[in-house]
Amino acid sequence: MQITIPTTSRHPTSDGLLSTPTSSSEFALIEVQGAVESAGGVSLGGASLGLVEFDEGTPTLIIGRHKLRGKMETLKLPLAVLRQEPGSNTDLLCVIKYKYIFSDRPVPILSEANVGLAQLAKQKR
Amino acid sequence: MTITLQYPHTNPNEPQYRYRLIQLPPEVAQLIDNGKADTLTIRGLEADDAVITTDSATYALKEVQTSNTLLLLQHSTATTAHPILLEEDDDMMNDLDNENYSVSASLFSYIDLERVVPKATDQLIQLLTPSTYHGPHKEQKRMQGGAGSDAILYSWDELGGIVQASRMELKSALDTVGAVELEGSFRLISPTFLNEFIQLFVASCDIDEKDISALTEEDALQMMAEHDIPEAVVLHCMHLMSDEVEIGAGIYKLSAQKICRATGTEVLMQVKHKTTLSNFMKEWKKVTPSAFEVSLEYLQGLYLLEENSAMHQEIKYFPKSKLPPIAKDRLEQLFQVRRKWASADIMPYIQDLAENKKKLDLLLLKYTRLSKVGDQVYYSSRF
Repeated sequence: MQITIPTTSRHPTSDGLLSTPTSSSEFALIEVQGAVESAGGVSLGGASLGLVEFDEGTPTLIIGRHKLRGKMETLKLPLAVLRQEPGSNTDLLCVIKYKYIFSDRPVPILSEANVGLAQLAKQKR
Repeated sequence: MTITLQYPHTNPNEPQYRYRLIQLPPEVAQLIDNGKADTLTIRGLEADDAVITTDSATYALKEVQTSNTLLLLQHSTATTAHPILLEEDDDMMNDLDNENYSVSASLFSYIDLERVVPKATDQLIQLLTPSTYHGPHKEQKRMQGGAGSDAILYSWDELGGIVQASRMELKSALDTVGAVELEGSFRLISPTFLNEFIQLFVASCDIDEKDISALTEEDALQMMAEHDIPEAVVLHCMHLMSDEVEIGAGIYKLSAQKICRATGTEVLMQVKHKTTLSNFMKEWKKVTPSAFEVSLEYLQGLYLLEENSAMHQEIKYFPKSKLPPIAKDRLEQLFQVRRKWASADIMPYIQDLAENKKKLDLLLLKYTRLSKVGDQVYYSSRF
């Protein structure tokens, strides 16, 4: 059996970086510690994972009530992204050269509306 | 700038894609970057460990587990405002810098590629031996349902699906085993037939008074026309017994090395166990056209010399092609035959185990013990 993977139809500019106002990138790669799970094992389909914000170039990932600071890294060896369609073609989508890695300990965050609630609880006791 | 990440809605109408990350060695990444590799090919039968090939090299696939999760994101044009943004940040709602990405896959491993030397020649010998071409008479019988009629014939594409080697490596392996493409299928030429052909061909050159150092393909076809041998086989056999004097000019010179090796192989194969060197040389000379001088160096990788009790040298047939393709197995078998090998003697049997001298030295370091007597290097088993 031989499966031919064309490399010519790949996204030539998609190197793993997230889009910026001046450049758009089709694919990106994010590395997080552990695994992402939904509470109660509900399907993740359609669910929002979170946000990435850039603070003076430093990427920050916000998932639920956690905030993770990260950094952009150049991969030692590039990664080709293959997409296999069962019983059909295998495509090389792009070659990724960078990734965003979020390996710091998550910092809990409070939304505006909840600020002060912890103090309130203290006073009650 | 904000990037919103979202898992895609499960859509039963969309195919269930499977995503894989493949770590590319620098030379492969470069080929793809420069547009030099239009395709990569995954090869192998179901029972094989799959390999990926470029046009010229073969890589084994090795899955590497990661402790972290790799999220593959794909840019999505659908604008789904994040609830947090709606409630809390009016400025951000109007932020044109907001981009949306959907999480295409969560991956816990990637595939590492490791360059390997394909076992193409050994595999080809196994696949093609049953359908070996034995000459016009046997070929006719085969076509009529005689011996060999049930042998499977393999085309280029069929071999590409079985042999786990790149296009160029497969081509070079087909050259190494001396296969000819006959009516779309690759066939080996039987050594016996090749010898008959050599005798016929050299005799014809003699009769037609052709210069054996300046022959054209036209000459060959003309001389062999009456023997009912397919043109492809005539030209192939001619190439097997000659060297092209000037590449591209189509002028061939019969090669003493190639012809003597062919006749010598035939004689060696008929030696039952072993025979004295002098007997062998006499027999070899007899079957070799007199225009060519026999010399043992032509038979590298085919024979072993041993000294018998009467201090006579004896020779036996010991072809590299019968040894196992895996380095460890092959060296083990070699050390069973001989406990200690001189470097020059063992080289013909192990050279193809590694792609270059440095890697071969590493293999020898791993599986053998090296000793020196004067300038002579010897290898013996490590076990």
